Amino acid sequence: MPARLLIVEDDPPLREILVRSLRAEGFDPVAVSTARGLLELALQQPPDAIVIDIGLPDGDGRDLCQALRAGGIQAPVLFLTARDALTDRLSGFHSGGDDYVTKPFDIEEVQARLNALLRRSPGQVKPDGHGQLYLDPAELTVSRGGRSEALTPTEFRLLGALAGAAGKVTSRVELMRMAWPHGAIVHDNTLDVYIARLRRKLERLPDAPVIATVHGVGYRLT
Amino acid sequence: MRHRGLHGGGLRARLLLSVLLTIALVLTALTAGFNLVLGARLNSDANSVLSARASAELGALRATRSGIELPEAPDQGSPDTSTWVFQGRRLIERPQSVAVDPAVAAAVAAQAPAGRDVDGGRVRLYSLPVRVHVRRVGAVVVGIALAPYSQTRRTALLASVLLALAAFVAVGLAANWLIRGALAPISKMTRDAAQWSEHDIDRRFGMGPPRDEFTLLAFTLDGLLDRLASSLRHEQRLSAELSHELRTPLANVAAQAQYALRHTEPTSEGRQVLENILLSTQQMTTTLDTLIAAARGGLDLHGATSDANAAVRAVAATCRALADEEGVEIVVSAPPIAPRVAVEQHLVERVLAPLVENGCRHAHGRICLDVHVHASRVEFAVQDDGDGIPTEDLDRIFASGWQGKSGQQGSTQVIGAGLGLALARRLARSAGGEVRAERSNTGARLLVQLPRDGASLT
Repeated sequence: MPARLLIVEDDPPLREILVRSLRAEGFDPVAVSTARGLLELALQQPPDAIVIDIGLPDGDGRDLCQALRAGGIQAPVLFLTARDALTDRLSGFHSGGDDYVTKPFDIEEVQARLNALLRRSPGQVKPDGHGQLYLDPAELTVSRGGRSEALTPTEFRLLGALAGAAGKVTSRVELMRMAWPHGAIVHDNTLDVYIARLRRKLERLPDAPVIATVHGVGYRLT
Repeated sequence: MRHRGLHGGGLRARLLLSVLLTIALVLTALTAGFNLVLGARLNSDANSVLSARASAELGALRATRSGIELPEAPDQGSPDTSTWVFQGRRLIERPQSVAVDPAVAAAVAAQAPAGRDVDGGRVRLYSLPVRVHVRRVGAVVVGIALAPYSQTRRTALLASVLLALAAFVAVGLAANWLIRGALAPISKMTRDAAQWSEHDIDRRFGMGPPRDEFTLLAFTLDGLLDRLASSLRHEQRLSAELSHELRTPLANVAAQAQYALRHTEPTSEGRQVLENILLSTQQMTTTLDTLIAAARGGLDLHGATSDANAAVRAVAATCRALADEEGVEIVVSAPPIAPRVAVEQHLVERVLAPLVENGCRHAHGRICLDVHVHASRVEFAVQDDGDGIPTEDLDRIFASGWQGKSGQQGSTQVIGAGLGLALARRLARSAGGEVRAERSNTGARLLVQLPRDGASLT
């Protein structure tokens, strides 16, 4: 059975040739043009692997990746990036990406990297939906039980990092790395302020998980 | 933003000097004025003492037509005063122990009323006439020792000079302390601003709206940092957007060509066309990478440096394949101690590569790559043994879009990753260097000059 791929790429000719090439190479690709479109498709039926263009019209591909992880999607993510600066590549990994290729790419390289990711991937896991938060990378909101709260980009990345850790503790250093740009100077109390704000916003959502402090280590969403 | 030879002392020294000069002038004027007034005052004191004494002596005498009668018990007076009494020209009373010559006292008596300093200024004499009705019958001469007065004057002079000196030192120390305290925030702010502009472009003083000189300075520096940060962000965004906007269509072209090559069955001519398209996308990608790297390099405030020898060897290695294809040998000769250039290595390579590729295509069998060190720059020479460049074309080969005659040196119609000589020159210039061609009898000689690390600042 061919591996099911979800692709988000906003440039129509490139999207079309990606689908055609990957199908010819034996994948089962479905392509969309927006972050939200991909998130909805992925939550309906988790794919085997995901290809995300970082520059999307309705959001940043890295935020989309965090939203996927927060939604319980564990399929490997390959970023297509037109930005090859070190900071861009690092932020791709920090947001939960597994690999990246720089545009323009050789389609054979994309195929080879996807195959490598699929070999290492644990396979499809249907998210159970319990205690889950829905992060919208286009609107930068978090929703649960029909209510939603607006987030700032930093709050979004911070919450995405916590939600993507699936109940495990995320260290303070890790959170700073994931929520702030590479090289930014973040003071300890800045992180505390953001966590406090997130806690207030989560309290307003019905039956939402809470951010627990693990002293001397970091935070955990429970 | 480095401080050279400035230790925050320039302005402070000037301010201190002007304060000290002013204080010195004021203190000198005060001391001189005080001593002059004191001198005049002492002088007039001595005169009034003399005049009172003389009047008292005169009042004690009884003068009649027959002569002058001295008081029964002559007034001893103070030890500092002495009295002579003359009847006519005859001295009838004299002090016991005074070193003044009676002849001198007689001369003063003759001119009565008169005053004179005698005995080398140690004694002042004053005379008043003794009259009976209007007839002058004699004179009283009173002398006073001036020693106490000059003693007072000397003591006052010494004390006032010492006081002035002490005041001068005290004011100098206080002024130095005040000026240092007042200027310290300025040097600290200057240092902070310089440091932030290099390492932490988002830091600000944030002292609010300007209320005094310091907050105005902070406000101005914050404004400058804002503008610097915004222009940096603008440049970074521009290059990122440019890169993104060009890379996506390039990716599309490449993917289409790859698909057509792999999954359609093109004729051999069609295959050639598709391969040429792929080659062109590779060239465009390299050019794009170079331009973005140059833009980023231009924004690099930390002044990246690199090893000139390593760059030359890397270029020789990259061009080896092309050289082998053309049957050309690349000979590198580099100085034993590697010079450092004030440019990132990949930029050096991107400047040198087109020159070496150009050489590969035009050499008959050999290219020499030499590195020379000069005082302020490092020079890379690319010399081939081909037919050389016509004199009239020495500069023209660097014009963008220059198309030499078929097979001529400097032709921009290159195969491979060559970026052309125009881009090489532009890159070198953006890094503060230069690329030029030189006349040579043994083929083409292209020279790249780049700033040497550490040399440009001294």
